[in-house]
Amino acid sequence: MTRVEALEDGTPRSLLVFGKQSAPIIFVTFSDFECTMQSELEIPSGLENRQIVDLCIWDNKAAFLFDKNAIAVFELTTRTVVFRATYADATNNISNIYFVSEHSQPSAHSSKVAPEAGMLSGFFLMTETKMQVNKNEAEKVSSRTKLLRKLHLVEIQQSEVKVKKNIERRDRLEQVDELTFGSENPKLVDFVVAP
Amino acid sequence: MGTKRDQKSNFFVFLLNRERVKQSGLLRLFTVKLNWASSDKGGNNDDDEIKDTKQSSNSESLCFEYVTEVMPKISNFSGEKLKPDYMKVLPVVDPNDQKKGETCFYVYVGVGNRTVVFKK
Repeated sequence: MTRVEALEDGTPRSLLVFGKQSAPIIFVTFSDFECTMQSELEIPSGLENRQIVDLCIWDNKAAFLFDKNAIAVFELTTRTVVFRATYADATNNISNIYFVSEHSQPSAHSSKVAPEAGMLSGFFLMTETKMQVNKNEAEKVSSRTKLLRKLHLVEIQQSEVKVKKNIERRDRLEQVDELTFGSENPKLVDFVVAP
Repeated sequence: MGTKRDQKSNFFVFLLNRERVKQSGLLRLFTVKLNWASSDKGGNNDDDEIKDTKQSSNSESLCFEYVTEVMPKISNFSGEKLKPDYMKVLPVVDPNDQKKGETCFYVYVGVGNRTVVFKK
């Protein structure tokens, strides 16, 4: 296991623990330093052997960024995947993901149609990096050099469509803006909500 | 450093070059403001802008507002030949630490145990 993330969901406290490979992602709840529950998140099919690149947590949700720019959002109360899509507008690797909430939108611009109940909404801020890979150690991520190329601002789009007699959920990530860094190559990124 | 739009910005992105910290303790930091695009899509004329961005077709969508380059200083920096290797930014929540109309952030960087206070 290489990473631990704390969930700010009150008491008892919860943690997500995982390694570089996607499986297993362990959900741990504890109280007074005693583990009270431990379970694994079920990785969606096709992502079982992908590398986990980054994670962001908000409310009671966790978005996992896998390699090849695949994203899966888990509802942590039910430990289920509620959104899954691959971001296709990046030309290189996405290496960081941040959730940008929609509810901070100023009231003067709130005429946008509200998402349906239960539907995921908001934006992701993602950083695209060009990876310079050492050919002899192509499998070792630590040997790669990351150069930031772009920031992507991406809207989460989720809808339900009726196909024959079934209701199917459509998950998409739609780019709404991008910002390119030519020769600057900043390498450390953080994202904050102003107080 | 400014914008033609008066909307309150909720979100900031900080990007730090991992180049060596200058002898004076100055760091090269970029800040990107995210804002909700209004129907008035006037550009901006910041001299220190890196590159303008395309506007979203959705006039009420979030977009990158502008980019500025700033040089916050690490206090008590003694000129070590170090590169920052991590960064964490926290907004200042104590109103006594903020002047009117100013948003302040603490920028923690991995150059020893140093703190940068950046006022925006």
